[in-house]
Amino acid sequence: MTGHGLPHRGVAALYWLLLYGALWAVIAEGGGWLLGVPFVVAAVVLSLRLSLRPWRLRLRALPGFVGYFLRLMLGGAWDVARRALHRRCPVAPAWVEYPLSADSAHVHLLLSALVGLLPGTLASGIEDGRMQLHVLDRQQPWQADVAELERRLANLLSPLEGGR
Amino acid sequence: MTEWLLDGLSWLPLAGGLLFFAAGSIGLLRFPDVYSRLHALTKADTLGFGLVAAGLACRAGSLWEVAQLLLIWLLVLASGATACQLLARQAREEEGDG
Repeated sequence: MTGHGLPHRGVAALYWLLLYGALWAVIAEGGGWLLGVPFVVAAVVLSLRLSLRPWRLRLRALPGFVGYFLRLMLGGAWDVARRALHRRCPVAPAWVEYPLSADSAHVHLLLSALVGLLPGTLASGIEDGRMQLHVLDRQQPWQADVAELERRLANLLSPLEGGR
Repeated sequence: MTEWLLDGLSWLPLAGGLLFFAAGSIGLLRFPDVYSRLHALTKADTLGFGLVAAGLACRAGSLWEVAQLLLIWLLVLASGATACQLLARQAREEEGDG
């Protein structure tokens, strides 16, 4: 454990240091480091003590993901606004299940949170590798969107295994 | 000149954001059950807030303010998406009990 544990911890410490340093810089508009440095260091130490695992993002995939996600979010909000303002308020809600194909816990967590911003879907949780989804309109083709989001999240969060 | 232009342009996302907030609230009142109402709130409000933040970012005095608005939006997005999911789970469990 001491053999490769140490450099690994060093990388994690650097990761948290950069993240919390950037957060402080944004919040304090680049000043106040006399107060900021102790808090940043304390947060880094706490993260290491709790052995939080740094999220490994594939940065090259990030701009494409953000663009894709903003488009879906716009579609989701537009769809729900249209239904709310429509004279007859057309909704046909139903519960469905979506079998997950990714096995990373990070992907599951993000997918079940972000799926709520997609057009017409909302997750209530994951049981035995199946995501419980509420759909606003059972006629709507939601499977393709959820599968695409899952594939893109897996691609974004796994720099080592490669996409697809 | 650019400031004047940005000022004018900022009204577009600001107005759009307010429209989505209004639509989300109307959905909250009109949709038939808890889950459908959650759809309306989460989706419309997250986008509405994003548009308002974008509009305000056009009027920001410095890049720090733009970064702060982005950070706030990300936090609201994360908390909204998580809270919506937890409310749906809770409502479903209560339904199962009753």
